[in-house]
Amino acid sequence: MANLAVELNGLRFPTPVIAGAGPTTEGAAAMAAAARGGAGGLVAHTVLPKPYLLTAEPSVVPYGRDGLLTNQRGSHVSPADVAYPTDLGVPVIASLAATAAEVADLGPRLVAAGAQALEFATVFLTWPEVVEALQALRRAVNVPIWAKLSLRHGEDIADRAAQIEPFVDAFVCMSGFGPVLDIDVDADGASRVSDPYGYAWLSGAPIHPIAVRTVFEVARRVTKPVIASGGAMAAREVVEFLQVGASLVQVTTLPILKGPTAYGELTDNLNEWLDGHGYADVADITQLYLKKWRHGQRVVITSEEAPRLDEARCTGCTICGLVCYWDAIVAKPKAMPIINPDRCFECGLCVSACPEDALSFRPRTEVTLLP
Amino acid sequence: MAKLSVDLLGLTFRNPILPAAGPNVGNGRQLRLTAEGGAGGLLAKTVSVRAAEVPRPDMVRYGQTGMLNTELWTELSPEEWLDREYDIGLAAAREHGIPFLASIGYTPDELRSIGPKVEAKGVDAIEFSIHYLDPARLIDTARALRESVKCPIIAKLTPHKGDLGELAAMIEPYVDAFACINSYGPTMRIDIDHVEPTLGSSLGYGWLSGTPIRPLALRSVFEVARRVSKPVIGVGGIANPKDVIAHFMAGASAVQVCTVILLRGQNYYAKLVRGVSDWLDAHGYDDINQVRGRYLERLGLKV
Repeated sequence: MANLAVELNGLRFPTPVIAGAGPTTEGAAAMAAAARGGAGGLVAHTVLPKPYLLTAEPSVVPYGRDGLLTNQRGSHVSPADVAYPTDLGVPVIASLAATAAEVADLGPRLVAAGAQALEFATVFLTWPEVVEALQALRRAVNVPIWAKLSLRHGEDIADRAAQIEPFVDAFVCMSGFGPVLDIDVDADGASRVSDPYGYAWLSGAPIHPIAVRTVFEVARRVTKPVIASGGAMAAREVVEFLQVGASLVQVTTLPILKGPTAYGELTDNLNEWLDGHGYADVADITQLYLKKWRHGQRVVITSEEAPRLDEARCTGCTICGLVCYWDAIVAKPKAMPIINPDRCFECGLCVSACPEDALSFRPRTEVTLLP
Repeated sequence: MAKLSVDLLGLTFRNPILPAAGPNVGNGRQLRLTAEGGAGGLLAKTVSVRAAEVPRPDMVRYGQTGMLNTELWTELSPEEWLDREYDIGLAAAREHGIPFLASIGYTPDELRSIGPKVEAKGVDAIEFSIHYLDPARLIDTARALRESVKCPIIAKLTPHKGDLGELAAMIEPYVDAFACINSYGPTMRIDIDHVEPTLGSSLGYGWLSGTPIRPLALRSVFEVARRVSKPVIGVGGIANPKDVIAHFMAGASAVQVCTVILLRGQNYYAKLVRGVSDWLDAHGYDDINQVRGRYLERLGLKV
């Protein structure tokens, strides 16, 4: 059993897997269920100056097996009625979205309601409004402030983070991705989510590679901690987020799809991964990739390597042959594929497409024609 | 059997499912396989004034129908295309009775240089790919190709945080159609066991394609289709027949596919085409054009 506890902004999180803001952290009962389910910390559903009144359903629908589309902007609970549970044994962070004029009242109100830190959702404001609101919030409260960044403000997310770093204590990368549109063709072309234009925000596995890049890029740039959010569905993604620079990982889509026990299961799986790879402490993998690759790598523009087959793993499924566009693999059902390293472009598709993990790159001279 | 052929740019495509520029159409042989696989028309990989120096590895699968790539344009030289590969692809297109489109890039000078040479091969239309969003550069680029060739030209647009329709409208006077969208990026996926990048680009970044970007593509197609009157070709995240219908409902007049073909093979066109036909039959349509713009229609917008 590896040590999983993480300290961040003076708060102690028993596991780096924490609950992100969303319907799964709305109200004391849901937060208690998330804590019981094993969340290492709780970011409560986003409080708005005026409660968010849903006027249109559906507002949260699945996208594929591991994604969600939503139009929800925040909690339908009024700021005056917010009270956070303080006896759950894990840190409780309030999430808010408000302008500079509004945070002066809302920020201290949420701290008084029991929040140990505040997460500020930037997605609903223009960038100048975000900067102004964070400055106002910094003046209004003494608890740590996390800024949850959105690609809606542009791809230069590291520049944005650097600009607000003086006013915040950590960054959360990233908000749901959007706006996007998905159409239900069997419902006569209706949007799958209700909104004047049918627009929605995408979360879960589909946005994970986007979130990984933003975490890495922001972590390369700033000195304050980065918290990941975006498509952590299994231990693999938690490890990936931690390696590229995150200190904590928020999960929101996963418990919406799988229920509150998902936090604990994810933590157990993280533990197994750490044990299996010989790490005694989650801190041992934090920023491992960031430290190694923050300045980039040597770019190779010739095929120095080719895939080598692990015959013990190969089931003869022929997928490697199907995805090879350079005629370097001849794969026949139930037989070992024949790899011609001289034709290989080293594109990587067969290695990543192999369902049995039977292919890996080796220097071309080490790859011989098989069988 | 619903009618699947579409008329676009003065050309008739036997069905609306075309290849998107990528390794799937990376040489004459693959173009022939694309035609044999059942595509409605051909489009060859992007050619520029020199061969691309592609970082390796340059593709990694993501999920069942997604991918990250750090592909650039064709790794073959323009001479190889002009002397050999286009001829193989054009012959396959003529044999199958389908149009042949070229893709070229990227700067105004490059388009002026390569455009007329590609047109002289006898291609039916030329797509040009735009990877930036600055209005002045966009217009310069579109105008440069417009003034260099007589055949129809298609602007392939990159996804955008704002309204893509506004950018499309700016170049509408110079182009005959739009293709939306390119892959989205940068994005990143690492090898956690070895703590290494999975892609060969300097920061390990790649561009995301396939199912993860379908909702971004549909939004982009919708935004362009509601704003311009010229046809839109939907590209992004098509993995099954319903995705083709969704792109049409968002306003597309044809679609392009790449990721799903790379992962499922060139024969997947025929499966997509059959599935689209079955869906139209099951829903009482006798022509795919009847579903085009259904989403805009529902919102009371023009079709």
